[in-house]
Amino acid sequence: MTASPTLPSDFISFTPGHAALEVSDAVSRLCAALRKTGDDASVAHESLGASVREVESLDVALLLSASVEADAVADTLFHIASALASANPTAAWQGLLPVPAGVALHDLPEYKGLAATMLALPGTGRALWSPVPLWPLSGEVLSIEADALLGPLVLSAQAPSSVLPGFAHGRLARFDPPDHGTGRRQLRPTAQQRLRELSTTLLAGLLDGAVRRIAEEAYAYAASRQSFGKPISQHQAVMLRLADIALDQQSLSLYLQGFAQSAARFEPKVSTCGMNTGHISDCAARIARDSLQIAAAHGYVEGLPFKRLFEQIRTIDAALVQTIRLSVP
Amino acid sequence: MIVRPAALLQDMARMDPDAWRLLEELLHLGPDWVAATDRSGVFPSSLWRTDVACFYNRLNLPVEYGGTPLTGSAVRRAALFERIGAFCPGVLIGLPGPGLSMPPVLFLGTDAQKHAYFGRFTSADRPIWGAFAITEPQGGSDATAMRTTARPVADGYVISGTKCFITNGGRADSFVVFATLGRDKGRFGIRAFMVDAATPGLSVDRREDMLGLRASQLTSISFNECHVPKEHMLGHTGKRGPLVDAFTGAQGAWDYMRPALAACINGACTGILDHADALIGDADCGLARAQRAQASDEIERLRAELLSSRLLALRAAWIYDNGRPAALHASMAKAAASTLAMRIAMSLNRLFPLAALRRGDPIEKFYRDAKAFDILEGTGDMQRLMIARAFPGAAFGRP
Repeated sequence: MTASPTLPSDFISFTPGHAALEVSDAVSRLCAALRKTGDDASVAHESLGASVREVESLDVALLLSASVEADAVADTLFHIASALASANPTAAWQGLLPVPAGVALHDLPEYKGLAATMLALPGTGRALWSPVPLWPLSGEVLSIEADALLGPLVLSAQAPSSVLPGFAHGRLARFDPPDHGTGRRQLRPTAQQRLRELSTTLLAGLLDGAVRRIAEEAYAYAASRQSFGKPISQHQAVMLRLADIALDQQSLSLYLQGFAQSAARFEPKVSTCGMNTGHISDCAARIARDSLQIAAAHGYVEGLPFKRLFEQIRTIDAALVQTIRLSVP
Repeated sequence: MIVRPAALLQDMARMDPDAWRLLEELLHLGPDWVAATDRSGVFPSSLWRTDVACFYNRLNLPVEYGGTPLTGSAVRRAALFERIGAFCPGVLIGLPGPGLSMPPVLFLGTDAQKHAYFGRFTSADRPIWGAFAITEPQGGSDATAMRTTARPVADGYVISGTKCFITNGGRADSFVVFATLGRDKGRFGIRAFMVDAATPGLSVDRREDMLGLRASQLTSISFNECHVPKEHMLGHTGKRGPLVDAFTGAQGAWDYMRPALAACINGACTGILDHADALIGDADCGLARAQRAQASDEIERLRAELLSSRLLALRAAWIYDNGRPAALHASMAKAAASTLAMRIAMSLNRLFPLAALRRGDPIEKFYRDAKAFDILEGTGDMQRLMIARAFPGAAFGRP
């Protein structure tokens, strides 16, 4: 019986790489704009669509391919995803989900001329291949098709879909072979593994950002909400809960960053599939649970962001867990 | 900044090879030696060859005052303490040297005071200990409730009061003692004094019968009209001058030591999980095949949590080395590590109930040691209150 690896490759950098810093200005500006727009149910489809397009206009795939050293791509992707998700999880999710396949298409020789594991969804105005992560073992694809924001996504009867929890405009669709109006193209196994690695890193970044956002919201609410003549953040019971939120958030963040950095360096022995899904899911769920609890009933109903973030975190976590499972050789 | 703990340890071994060899000697003493130390709470005198004593005396001293480079930075301390903690956290805390008394002298002392205090450790050819005396029976973390007084007299101060839960207090040769010039002055009336253990009026009241970490000898000390020369007040020459907030020095000591303590706890967790893995790998471990698989999964999960905890400790150390405020990160590292340690202890009790029943078994011992982690150098509750206050403004960014 051998012990599990302790540190991912015995390596951690506590500052984002140079590449991440180089792109940070553009990302920071976009984050500020996305925060203003928001992504709750009251935000009009058009506004949210504009936010998604803003994220898309960063062209992260091209940016990573053109401006970032190959061994920093995953790390940089993690930090961009985290920053954007903390500002606006919906726009980040929807705008960044195609990035891993996009990077692969740009970067890796074995992808040239191939279309990654991609889908062409029916009923879209673009009629283009949409590079989204595909989980073939379950036959399900978790996807938000960009055009869905512009109107309901119409899928064929053979491809029923359901709304993604937390992402009102997202759809979870099941595509059974033969593809009813959809198309698929396959990659070689090694390329698929790399794609999943980047998808894992992206989802890890999105989760990192979303849990940071709900933790921020919890601290902000606790500072503003008065009870017995003082902010509830000064009540010890609440303080202890806030501290546990901080501990979980920082623990999870460092854990995810460590693996993202390993993935960035293509380290075969410390693939992101080594992430422990139990630790990640429990940490994320505790942060979401405790943060919503800070706002109590106000967090449980529409209005404050807790209700939406609570579901978004579960959705991103579920996507991450599923991707990690499928990444295990 | 990139931290590579394993590579760092290799560098450290090259830095001071003689010291490293002595350290390796300790780490190879084996579980029976650890169990015996746990039973008795004392180190066998045969351990202290002159070269060994001289090494441990300077293990935690600043390099510029003769300390070993092995502990010359917070990240190195964390890497080293993690390694020794995996061997036995109680032994690490009980080793000779200035211990927690070092940082207040470093932060508050004049150059002459530093040379005088640290020189005791570098010049001795036998093991000597320093101790940090701040906690009192009536109040732990509330500095303003301090009752030990320092009454000014013509040529110094007279210290009176009682201190409790003093690590290595029973074997200490010197103390850094915190006392107030007047309770009405609050924390700004608190001063720190270097007090020799042979000072008339200083007595060891009791060595506590501890649940765990028994090699660290927690002790109660009384100061009955102990006369201390004015030159022994840290940061003061005896002349009138600006107030020196000694409590800030105490906080500096905790910032200095907590990342290393967290690393020590993480090391202990690593050690016990390695032990658990070895047990699971043994066909006679008492677990059926399915139970072994389940146990392996649980250990793997705990190792993931341990990785998070290790990263928190290393980051706190890295922040400290960069000269940035580290109190929040040090508290997070310590709170996370100690919480995890108890969780591991409870899991292993459940997985290996017979081991938990055998006095001195590593799993039985770890359960006792782990509880201490959430208490010493600031309870988990105190750390959390501090985190809740400091976190919003400081930590949502990176790192």
